[in-house]
Amino acid sequence: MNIMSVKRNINLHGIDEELCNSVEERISEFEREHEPDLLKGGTGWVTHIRKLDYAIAIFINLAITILLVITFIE
Amino acid sequence: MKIKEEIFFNLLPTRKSERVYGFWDFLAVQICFGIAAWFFLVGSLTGLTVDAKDAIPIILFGNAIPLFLIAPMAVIFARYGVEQWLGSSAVLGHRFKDIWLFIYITSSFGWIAYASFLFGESTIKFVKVFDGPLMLTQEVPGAVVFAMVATLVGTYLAYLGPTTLKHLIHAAAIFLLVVLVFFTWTVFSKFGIDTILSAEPAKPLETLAWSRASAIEYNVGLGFSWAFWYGQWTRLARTESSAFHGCLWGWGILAATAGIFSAFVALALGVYDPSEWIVSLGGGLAALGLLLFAVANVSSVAALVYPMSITLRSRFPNLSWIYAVLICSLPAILLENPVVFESYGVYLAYIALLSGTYGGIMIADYFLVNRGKSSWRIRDLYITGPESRYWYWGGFNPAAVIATLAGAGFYLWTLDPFNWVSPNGLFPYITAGIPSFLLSFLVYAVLMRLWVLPGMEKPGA
Repeated sequence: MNIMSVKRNINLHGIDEELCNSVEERISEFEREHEPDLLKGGTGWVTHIRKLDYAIAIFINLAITILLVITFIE
Repeated sequence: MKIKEEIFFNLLPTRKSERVYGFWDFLAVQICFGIAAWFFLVGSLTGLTVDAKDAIPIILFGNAIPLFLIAPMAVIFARYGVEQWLGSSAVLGHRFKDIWLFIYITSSFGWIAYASFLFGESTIKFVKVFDGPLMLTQEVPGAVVFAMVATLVGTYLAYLGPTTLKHLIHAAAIFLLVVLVFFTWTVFSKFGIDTILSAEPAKPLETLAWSRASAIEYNVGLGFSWAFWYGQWTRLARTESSAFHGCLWGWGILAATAGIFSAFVALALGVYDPSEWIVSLGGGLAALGLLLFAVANVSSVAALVYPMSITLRSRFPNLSWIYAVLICSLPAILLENPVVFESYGVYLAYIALLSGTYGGIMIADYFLVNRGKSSWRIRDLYITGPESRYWYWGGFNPAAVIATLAGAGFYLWTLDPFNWVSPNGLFPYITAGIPSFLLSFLVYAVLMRLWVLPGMEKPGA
């Protein structure tokens, strides 16, 4: 059976009915409003990270690595 | 009851409207959580191993680079809004995730033990200032008994729940900052910056290469350790960028400044235990410093036990709160002794092994697997058994299992933490934590792309 073709119920061990219903409500909301976008490379619940964020992190960490290398070479 | 609400909330995917943390909130929270016993001790250890010229870049590199490598984990949990271990099921498989959850809980006992024993060390010196009973001024049994007391008090504070804890964590961070700033100023004015910068480390290893590699490894252990603590926070992020930057800089460069200062103090005084520095002040000032330090360490214990207990309780919702808190704290008492306290470097190496391997797998999944059509399916995180696409082979993702064994095996081949020797001789040249991270990253990525993923049902099919 194709497991994606039918809606399957959540079955986490030990959760009560109230919590189960709340989880189901949010999962359905995510599947309806976000998952189709996400499968095409779009956003999840919140705004996607930008390439600039990675660039900033790479730049600063590269500088730290160069500092270490220079210290060791000296 | 607050706890019940917390656990209820912890299991739900968080909607955008419920997200409370922006960049500055994250930065503040992570600095508060980050600056604690673990940073003071790793700074001291570094200052005992290498000189000041090496210590600064080593502490920055050792903390910042591992955090940079695992930083996208912040994005994963912000994107899906799920709790860390629930989300890890997608990568590890539902049952293998439980094994990693067990590793997370048991390996965290060490952090509790170090914070508690530092409380013990501070308290015996505090008792000594006031000429207390001799027995309570000695490391054994004095510090051991006080460490147990710290664990029990911290456990009780965690049991009281999030409201009490929030105030305590903030107070603890302020106390530690006061101690840190005051001591830095005192040490610099007493010894002078030139003396500190030219001071020789008190306990270097046999060669400079071994000293440098070991100092890097201590810091890498702390840097990678955050891999276990992302999802608890970043599922509450307002944007993926705020989660990414807040954790990266808060736990990294900014909190690492505490390590740099304690390395300077260790270089100046040649001692490992931060409470020894405080005693050097003498009189009432020392007593006040010791008191602040002790209180801060108890708060750190509570700040660890609480998220561990919430995680455990989320996995086992039928477990009572009191049992969850006790399970997540009391075993730490077994580690509260001078031998373990002096072996912080060994503990950090084991943490680098575990969290680096786990981080490598998670990041490989983020960059090379969990994209576009292969993005996580949130429903399958909440379904256990063969119906879930994350059940893999009986609940174990074979790619994650093999990558774990490869990463951990390579680490132990490169550095035997217990004896601090390198079986393959590579440690002084490449260290162990970062290469093991890269290896588990590569093994997981290759196995998933070429073997596991093609066999899984394609989304949308």
